[in-house]
Amino acid sequence: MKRSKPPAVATWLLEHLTSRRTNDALAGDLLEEFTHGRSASWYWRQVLLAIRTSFLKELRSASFGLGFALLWSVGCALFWGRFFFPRQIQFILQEAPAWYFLFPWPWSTVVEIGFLSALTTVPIAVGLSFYLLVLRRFTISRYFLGVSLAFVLQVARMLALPGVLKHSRSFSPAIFFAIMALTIWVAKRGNTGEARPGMAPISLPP
Amino acid sequence: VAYFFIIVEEMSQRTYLGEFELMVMLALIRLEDDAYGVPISREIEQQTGREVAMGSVYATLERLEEKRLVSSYLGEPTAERGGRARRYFRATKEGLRKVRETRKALDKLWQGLPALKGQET
Repeated sequence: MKRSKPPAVATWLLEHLTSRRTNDALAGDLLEEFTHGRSASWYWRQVLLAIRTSFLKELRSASFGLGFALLWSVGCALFWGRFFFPRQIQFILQEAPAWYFLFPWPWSTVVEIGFLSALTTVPIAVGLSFYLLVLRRFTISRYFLGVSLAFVLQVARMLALPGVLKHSRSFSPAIFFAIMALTIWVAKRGNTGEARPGMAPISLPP
Repeated sequence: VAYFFIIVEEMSQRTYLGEFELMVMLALIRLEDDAYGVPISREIEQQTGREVAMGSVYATLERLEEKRLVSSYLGEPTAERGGRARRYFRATKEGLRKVRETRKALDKLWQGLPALKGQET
């Protein structure tokens, strides 16, 4: 006897593991076909193929971002991390007694963490703007989302690692790459409610 | 670095349609106002005799929409579909132009192929 409802697990997987933009229409189409006599095995096969297609598309799309993050991290490690970052840190350390005087503990630590986080966010912000502009995906909200995330991750890195401030005074290309890649991924996916360039907005028929 | 990414971006926006893209475009042009996932897949299955993964149809339609060759709108949700709306697709002017361009290029390539002469059915 044919079941009246499609496999619930398959539907759940479809709704959670495929592109948000199409999964509602796709789930509706598969249900429509199922109610018109398609089997549960056909339903499962369609769901698994849809997940595979969505995953490959996501991977292909993410690979550009990862490639850019890698190149940018290498560039930053060679120039900014080697020459400018140590000088900036040295300048901050020279000025530190002044702000310890201005901001008594614990505010001096808060200011130092905030300042160092902002400093290490700058090259990520520059890289992100470059990436979004080149790919014609730049929007203020997307950019703001990416930069805010980078700043929060830099703060979290300083708070999470032992020897907090001592560690933050050296440039780590691996951590820089991880934060850059994550920032790009989130900023690119960021749903701003605006139509992407090259994508027609969805509207009801006249 | 900028040039590298511009080249990669341009590569993804090929001049001609791919095989499956062309099939999907032709199916939705043929279906006119009734072009959504189910009939598009059925049309391709009937014409080619091969089973089509509906996820691939949607991935292709999404790509075509990003290239502005197709536009879409949502229909009314129905109980038969568990309260989900149909997404209808329509070829844009640019999409129709691209289909004609691809056909013209393929026609030229097909003309005068000595090895295939007399094998057409």
